[in-house]
Amino acid sequence: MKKILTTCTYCGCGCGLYLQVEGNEVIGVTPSREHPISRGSLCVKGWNIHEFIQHPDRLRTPLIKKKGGFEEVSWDEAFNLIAEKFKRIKKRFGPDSLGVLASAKCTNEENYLLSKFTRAVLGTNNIDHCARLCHSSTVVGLATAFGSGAMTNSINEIEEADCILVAGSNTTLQHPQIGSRILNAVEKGASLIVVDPRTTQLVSFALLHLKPRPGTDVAWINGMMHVILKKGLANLDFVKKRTENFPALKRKLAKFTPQYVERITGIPKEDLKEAAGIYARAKRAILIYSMGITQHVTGTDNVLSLANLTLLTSHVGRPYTGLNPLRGQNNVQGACDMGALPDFYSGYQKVSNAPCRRKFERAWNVKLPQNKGLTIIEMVREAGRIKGMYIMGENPALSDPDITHTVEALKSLDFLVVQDIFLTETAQLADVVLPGASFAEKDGSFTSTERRVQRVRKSINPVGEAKADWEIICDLSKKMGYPLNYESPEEVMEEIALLTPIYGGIYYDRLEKTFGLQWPCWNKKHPGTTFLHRGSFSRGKGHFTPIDYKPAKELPSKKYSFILTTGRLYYHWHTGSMTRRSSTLHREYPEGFIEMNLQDAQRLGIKNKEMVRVISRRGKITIQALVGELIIPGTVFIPFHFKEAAANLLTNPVLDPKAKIPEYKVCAVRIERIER
Amino acid sequence: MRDWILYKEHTFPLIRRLNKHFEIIAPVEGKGGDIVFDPITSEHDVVLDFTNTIMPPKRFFFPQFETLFSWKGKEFTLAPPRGAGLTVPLKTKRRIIFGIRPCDFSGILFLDGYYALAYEDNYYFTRRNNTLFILLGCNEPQEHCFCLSAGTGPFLKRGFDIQLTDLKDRYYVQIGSRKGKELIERYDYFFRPASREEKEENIQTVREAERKFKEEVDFDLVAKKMENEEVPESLWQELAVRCQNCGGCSYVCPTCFCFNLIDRVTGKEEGKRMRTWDSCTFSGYTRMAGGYNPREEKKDRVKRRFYHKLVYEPQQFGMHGCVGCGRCVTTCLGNINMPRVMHEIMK
Ligand code: SF4
Ligand code: SF4
Ligand code: SF4
Repeated sequence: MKKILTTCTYCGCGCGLYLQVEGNEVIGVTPSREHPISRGSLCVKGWNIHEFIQHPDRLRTPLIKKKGGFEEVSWDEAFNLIAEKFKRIKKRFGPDSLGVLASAKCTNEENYLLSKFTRAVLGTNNIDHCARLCHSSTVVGLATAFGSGAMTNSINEIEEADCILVAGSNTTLQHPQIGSRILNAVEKGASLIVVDPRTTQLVSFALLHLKPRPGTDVAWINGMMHVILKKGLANLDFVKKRTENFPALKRKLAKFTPQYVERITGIPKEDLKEAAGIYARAKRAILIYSMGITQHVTGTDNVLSLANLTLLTSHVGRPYTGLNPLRGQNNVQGACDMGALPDFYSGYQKVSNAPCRRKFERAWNVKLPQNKGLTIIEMVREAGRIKGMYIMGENPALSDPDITHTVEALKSLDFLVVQDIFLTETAQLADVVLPGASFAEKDGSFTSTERRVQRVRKSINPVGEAKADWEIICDLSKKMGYPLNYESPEEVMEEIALLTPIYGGIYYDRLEKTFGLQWPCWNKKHPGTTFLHRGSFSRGKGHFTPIDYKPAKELPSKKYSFILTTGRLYYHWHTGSMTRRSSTLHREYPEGFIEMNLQDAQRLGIKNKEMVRVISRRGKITIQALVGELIIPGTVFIPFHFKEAAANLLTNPVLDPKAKIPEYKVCAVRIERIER
Repeated sequence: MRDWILYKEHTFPLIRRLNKHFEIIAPVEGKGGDIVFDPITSEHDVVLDFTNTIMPPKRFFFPQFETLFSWKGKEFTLAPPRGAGLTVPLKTKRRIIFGIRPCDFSGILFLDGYYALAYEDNYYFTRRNNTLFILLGCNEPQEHCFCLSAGTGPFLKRGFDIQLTDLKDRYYVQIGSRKGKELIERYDYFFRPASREEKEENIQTVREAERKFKEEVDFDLVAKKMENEEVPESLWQELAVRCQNCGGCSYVCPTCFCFNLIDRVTGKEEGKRMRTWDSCTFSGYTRMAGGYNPREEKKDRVKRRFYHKLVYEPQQFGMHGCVGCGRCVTTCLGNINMPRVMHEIMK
């Protein structure tokens, strides 16, 4: 047996753990105690991470669909077919008829290479990944307000805060280490305010729980600011010195009186006033938010409003004080940083910016496309225009909103390649399936939610004939006539550091001796950055954007009288391709459920654990009802992990106009009792 | 039995010699600077000035994830492991665990009881009986250690094969079993008999170590209060809301022995039966096939965990289900842990 230090592949906390290897088998896990995040503990997913790695269902050889079924083929045959098809599509319909999805599960190096492959070889900027579905509104919103869209602080700073406001994040379940830091802070005396329509575990430790109706976030945030201004709790000195556009905001806030806000959100006006007071008066206030804020048609508006709130109270740009979007996937921060986005190269260098483009053209020795590419949802929605797609480690056939439409669109493609570790719902639709390597089978790096770039280390050989994803990309690129010659991921990181200022000082030898470096890290001497915007914002002055409240796109009606909100469970990860194959995790929640309030259930004559039908304008599912008081009346919740009762058959694919994030958190549904 | 002295400068040569004949598992430094038990490649890997490891060496006897047997087509017999036609992948090389702490070794003694309860668990005992334990007592108990209260440290009186006490430039070596005696005899040129002064020094060292404990709990008082139902339900409720169901408290605990059995289909008419570590904090641990769960509420699960360790196990095995290693203090995401709960009950 031996133990190999690596980074957890589930959530963005980025725990350090050792994989216990015997022969070529991973048979256990040990948390790192020295690691600043894991500190000797892991959540249930990390503790059982070995269970999926060598599962018998792993893809072991390339597959080509022939006569409706998959046939095992050699790598050569698979690559030849892909190269030929992509070349043909490109020639006939132009490069922008091809689209690529990168992966927040894969390493930085792999996402960088895939972005390079898409732009330099396929010749299009049509590359995106699931960050679009979780935090694109953060990237857009915080870029506008501060100039940089990431957690302003580090995870361990949370413990030192004296006020923590958590909005739309089920932190103990989704970011267990961060949840644990919040608990520690509360034990030390911090005041916790939770804003969530559901009664999450965190609520047990909260001083105040505000329960807004889903989709009314701008209203309560504006309401808090209204109160803060009125009580004279704003830091006008800070506003004057470090921000711009305050008068416009002030005008906008005038009408958001607590009474008005109560009517929209359902939050009692006294609670709103109290929350505003506690937050504004705090010395070290951490604001944490996640998908409850971002996954709305008004996602960008919500983020901008939170940014306004922190600027108004000067609760940003200091230690233990700031605005912190929690990134979900292990490497969703990194996939964004690496430019797996239609409008950015690595390090958020704009594709539309000529000097940036010229820099990458010189380095990659090829002419690059200038127009912004399509986002995930747009690629699928425009399946007529997109003829061929390459999907690495994503499962849109279960994770997109309104998947009936997504599946149709993927089916209608001329050619679809999926690279994954399991035959996911999306892979089943592919013409060619390529077996990638799990995180335990390759070298590379992940960037956690606190911007910490850390090493992933190869512990065992890939299963069967599977290959590390970076090798697959290099091999395919060679077949397409543009050799990507890298000896190792380390060499890829050297190129990243060279071309990406915020990663400028990140080299493997430095990651070797530390538990990672937090970007921005400008050069080899730079120690990395614990918290952002000290002294001045990335964009110079903090920018206030006045925002009006706009209701969600699909409101309850007579026929569809409930608001459906979706999300995840603690034991499962996204579409469940790994966790549902992990016996310990799967056993905890073998099937999906709909959470609903007792009052609603009684009215409809539904008993706890009874099967019900849930219907939206887009689809219907049959699912078990969990009846209780953990959710407000009129709102229901379904986790999206379960393909047998897929929440995304119901969700509404409307997009935030700026960030193009879909509204996963609000759609209207009807619930029917199944007569026996 | 006679006690011996091993000079520290002779420790590595001894380990090097032993390494030729045994698989040696010892504390080594992992890449992140963590000290973990692992097989050594060279004696230079061994780190002997360590605070206790993140996890006990339990996994070398009871792995986190292990195949019990596999089957193919009709070659499937429902028989105990080692039955005909079954592949029993067991490691049988002779092993030494060097530097195991007394609390962790007590954990092994505890597991011995469980794995021989209904029948002798072959997988466990094959490994167990092939292992020789060289203990390293603790001169410096850590912040969360309470083995003194648990009666499992900082030094043991019996039960071990060999126990070492750090006397600065030398180790005081005690023999506790026939296996231990044979080993010392075979390598006797590394040792010399301990003098009367050294014997005295050993006793002093043990006393000194015992005085250094910061954590002290009263197992008997706690058990009595629990048996008499003097613990308010609200305590369990307070703990339950903090528990994040990670399972870590069971995984890191030297005495937790629960496992789950799973079958994995590996091909057409082919499969394997595996066992994995389990934890009583999971709802799936007690949920029946039909969906009914006698411990549906987390409060009941948390409560049961502490009752098991502090009340039922002492009744069943004559040993506390906690050896005072303090690991659950480090690992719990909800700051629930044995000493904290015991203090709450003692109040
Ligand atoms: S899923 Fe997140 S909290 Fe859990 S072990 Fe992995 S990184 Fe840590
Ligand atoms: S209950 Fe905690 S302190 Fe006691 S033996 Fe188990 S891990 Fe160690
Ligand atoms: S370690 Fe703590 S959080 Fe994890 S299962 Fe045990 S009591 Fe619960």
